[in-house]
Amino acid sequence: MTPKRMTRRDWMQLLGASGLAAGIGAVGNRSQAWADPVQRKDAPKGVKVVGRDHAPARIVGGKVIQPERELVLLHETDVLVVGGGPAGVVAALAAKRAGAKVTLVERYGHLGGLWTGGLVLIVIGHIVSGKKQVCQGIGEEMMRRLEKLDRGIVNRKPGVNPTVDAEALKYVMVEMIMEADLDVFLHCWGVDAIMDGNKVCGAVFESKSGRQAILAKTVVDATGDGDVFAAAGAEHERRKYHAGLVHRIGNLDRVGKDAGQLDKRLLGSITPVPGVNWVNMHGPDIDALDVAQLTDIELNARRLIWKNVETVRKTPGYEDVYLMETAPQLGVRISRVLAGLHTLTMNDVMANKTFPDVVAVGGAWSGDHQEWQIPYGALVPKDVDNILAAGRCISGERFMSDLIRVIPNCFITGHAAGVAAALAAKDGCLVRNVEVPKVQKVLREQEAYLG
Amino acid sequence: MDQKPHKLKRRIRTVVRCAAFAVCIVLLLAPLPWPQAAFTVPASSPFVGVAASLAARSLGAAALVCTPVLVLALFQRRCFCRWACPVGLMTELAGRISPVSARRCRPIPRLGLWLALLSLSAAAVGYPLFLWLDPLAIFSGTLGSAFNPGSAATQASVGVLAGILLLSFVLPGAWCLKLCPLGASQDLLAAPRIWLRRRKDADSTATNDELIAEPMSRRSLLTTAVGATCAVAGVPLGLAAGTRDGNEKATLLRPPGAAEEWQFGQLCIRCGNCVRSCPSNIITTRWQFDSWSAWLAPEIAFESDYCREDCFTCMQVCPSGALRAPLSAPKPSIGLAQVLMDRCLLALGRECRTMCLTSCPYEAITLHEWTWEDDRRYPIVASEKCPGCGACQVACTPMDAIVVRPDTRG
Repeated sequence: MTPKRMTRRDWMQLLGASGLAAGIGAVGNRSQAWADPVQRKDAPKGVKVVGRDHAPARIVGGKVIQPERELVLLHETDVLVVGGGPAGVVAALAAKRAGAKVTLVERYGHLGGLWTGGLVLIVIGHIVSGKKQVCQGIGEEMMRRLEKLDRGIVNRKPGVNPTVDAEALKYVMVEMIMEADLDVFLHCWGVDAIMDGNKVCGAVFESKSGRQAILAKTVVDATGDGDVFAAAGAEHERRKYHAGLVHRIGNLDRVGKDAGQLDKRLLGSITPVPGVNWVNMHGPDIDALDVAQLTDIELNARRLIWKNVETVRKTPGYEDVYLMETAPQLGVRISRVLAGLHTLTMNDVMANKTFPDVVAVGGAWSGDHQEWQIPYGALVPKDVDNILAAGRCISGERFMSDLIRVIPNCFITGHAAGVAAALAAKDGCLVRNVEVPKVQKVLREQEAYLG
Repeated sequence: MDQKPHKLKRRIRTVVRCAAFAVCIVLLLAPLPWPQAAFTVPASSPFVGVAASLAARSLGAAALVCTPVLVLALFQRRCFCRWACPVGLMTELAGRISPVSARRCRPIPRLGLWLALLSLSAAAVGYPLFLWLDPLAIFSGTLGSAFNPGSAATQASVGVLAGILLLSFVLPGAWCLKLCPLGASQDLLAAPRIWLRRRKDADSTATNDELIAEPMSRRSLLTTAVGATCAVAGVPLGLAAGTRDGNEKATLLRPPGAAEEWQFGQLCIRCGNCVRSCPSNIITTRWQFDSWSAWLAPEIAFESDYCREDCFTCMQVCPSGALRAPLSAPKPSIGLAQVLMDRCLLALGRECRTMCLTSCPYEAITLHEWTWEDDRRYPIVASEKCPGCGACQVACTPMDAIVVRPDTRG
C-alpha cells in the first residue's frame, strides 16, 4: 500500500512546525552554538517527515507525466514583480511608492540581477548628446546612494559612463527594498503563469519550499528572459545572441610601472575598488533558453577565464594579479523579446519619434545621439492581459537589442512598468487600459524623465 | 549712321544678358526639384567641354550641353560673351563705372589665347591645365558660397571673381578680352571663318581690329607646342604631386566616380557643383596644400553622413568628367573601410553596439567568429563588397575605430 496521502491541512501544519523548529534552532544557535558541543546537543530534533507533499511525476506508457495537483498559495498581492534585477527592483519600489501592495521574487540570493550578479558593472546608455542624462528616477536614486558610499561608484561625471561596485549595489538595493517594506522572496524561481482566461493573475514559483503560487492583480515580468509572459502564451521572439561570463581580477595596483606588454582585453576596465578590474567576455552566440548551451558556456568560460588570467600572471610585472571572482550569473545579453502593442525600431530612434504614451526615455551608449522615447505599448503584450514586460525583454526589433538590453533601459522600463502595474491594480483595470497620462504624472512625481 | 536699330539691339541684348544671368543663378542655387540643374551652367562652356572631353577621351553630357555655344562661336565670334556670360555682364558693369578708358588694356598681351591653347593641347595628352580659370566655373563656385561657405574652393572662387571684377574696374576689358580662356577659345573657334573671310577680302579693315584672333600665326603655333610640352611634362609632375607618398595611388578620398588621381586634379574645374549638390554634405574642399595639381579639388569627409547607395548626384553634376557616373550600376567606390584595432571596442573586449555591422548598407562587415580557442571578436570588412561609403565610419562614434581609406589595392 502507498502511504496515506497527506491532506493540505496536514501539510500546512507540517510546514508550520518545521518553520517554528527552524526558527527556534536559529535563535538557539545564534551565539556560540557551533563552538560548544554541549549546547549542540540541546538543539531541537528534526521533524520526522512521512510520505510526501504531492504526487511526484510518474512514467505512464513510457512518458513522464506530472499529475495535476493543487498548489500552495504562498501569497496574495496587488503587484507581483518577477525578477529582482535592475528592472524588477525598480519596478517593485515604484509600484510600492505608487501605493500598491507589492511582492518581489528573485531566483538568486541577491538583488540586482546582471547588474550585480552578472558583473555588468558599467552603466551604459543613459546619456545623450550634450552630456545630458535622460535615464533618471529610481535607478538614478540608486546611483546617488552609491555615490555616498566609499567605493560604491566610479567615473560618475556628466557625460561619462560610470562603473558601480557589485557588492555596494547589492547592499543599496537591500536597503531600499527594506526601507520600502516590500514582500520579498529570494531563491524563488518563477516557472509558470497563473491564468484566468486570457488574463494573468499570478505566477507559480519553484523554491526549496516546493512549487507555490502567488496571486496578484497585475504582474510585471522582469525576468529578462520573459519567462512569465512566455508561459502565459504571449507572442514573442527568441533571439540568439552572444553570451559570456564576466570576471574580476585583483591586485592590479601591485603591477609595476615597467611591466610587460599585454593584450588590453585581458585586463578589462576599472571598478570602484582600487586594483580590481572587471573583464568582459563576448562569448559565442547562443540560444540562452537552451540549458545545454548555458551549461556549455559555464563550463568552457571557466577554463578560458583561468587560462586568460594565467596569461596575465605569467607576464612580467603582473605576477600578483589573481582571479578574484567569476560572475555568479551568466551574462545573457538577450533571449526572449516580447511582441508588444508597439515595437521599438531603430528608424524611430533615428527620426527622434515622439509618442503620446511615452513612459520612459532611453539614451545613447556614448552620448552620440539624441534621446529616444519608449511608449507604453512596448511593455504591453499584444495578446495576453494584465502582464507588463520590463527590462531587456520589452518589444523591439532586432537592431534595437543593444539599446534595449543595457542597464539604464532596464531600470527606466522597470520604473514605468511598476507605476503602471500599481495604477492598474488600484483602478481595478487591465494593464492595457490603464490611464497613461496618470502613469506619466506619477512617473514625473517619482523623478522619472519623460522628455 | 543708323542709330535707332543699334540702340534697340543693345537694349534687347541687355535684357537677354540679365535674363541669362538670372537663369544661371536659378540653376545654380537650385530652387528646382532637379538638383542636377547646376550641371548646365559650367557645362555650357565649350572651353571646359572640349578640353575635358579631349583629356578624358570621351564625350559626355557636358559635351552635348556646350555644343550650341560651340556652334554659335563658329559663326558669331564671342556671341556667348556678349549675350549670355554672367561674368561678362558683371565685368562690363565694373568697366562702365570705372573712370579708366577701355583702351588702356590694349598693350596687354593676349594671355587668354595662350591659356586656352596651352590647356587644349595639354588636354590632348590627358592633362588639361587651366580649366579652373573658366569664368562659368568661377561663377558657379562663387554661388556655391550660399550652400557651403566653408568650402575652400568656394572661398577661392569668390576671391578670384572679386579679383576679376577689380581688374575690370582698374583696366576695363582686360579680363574678357585679354585673359579669359573661354573668350579666347571662342576666338579660336571663330578663327577659321575669319581667316577665310580675310583671304576673300584682303583689304578688310578687320586686320587692324584688336579683337580678331590670329590663331595661325607663328606665335600661336609656338604656344601650342609649348602647351603640349608642358602637358607632357605635367603628367609625371602631376603624378608625383598628386600623391603624397609618391606612389601612383591616391592618399585622399575622392568623390565616387573620380578620374585617376593624376588626372583628377586637373580635370576638376573647381566649380563646386559636387560640393553644393551632395545631399549628404560630405564633399568638401580644403585650403591645405597637398599637391599642385589637386589643390582645392573636392574630397570626401565623413562627418555626420555617408555616401548614399542610390545617389549619383555628384557624378551627374560634374561638368568636366572629373567625376563620371557609370553607365550602369554598381556605384563606383570611394575607398575601403579599415578597422583600427587599437580603438575598436570589440577588439578591446569591451561591450559595443557593433553599429558598423548594422549600419553597413552592403552587408560588407561581419564579426570575427568567437570561439573558445580564439576569444577575440572584431569586425572584418569584406573588401569585395565595401565601396567605402562611410556609413560605418559615421556610425562608429565616438571611437572612430573604423575609417574609410583610399583603396590601395591594384
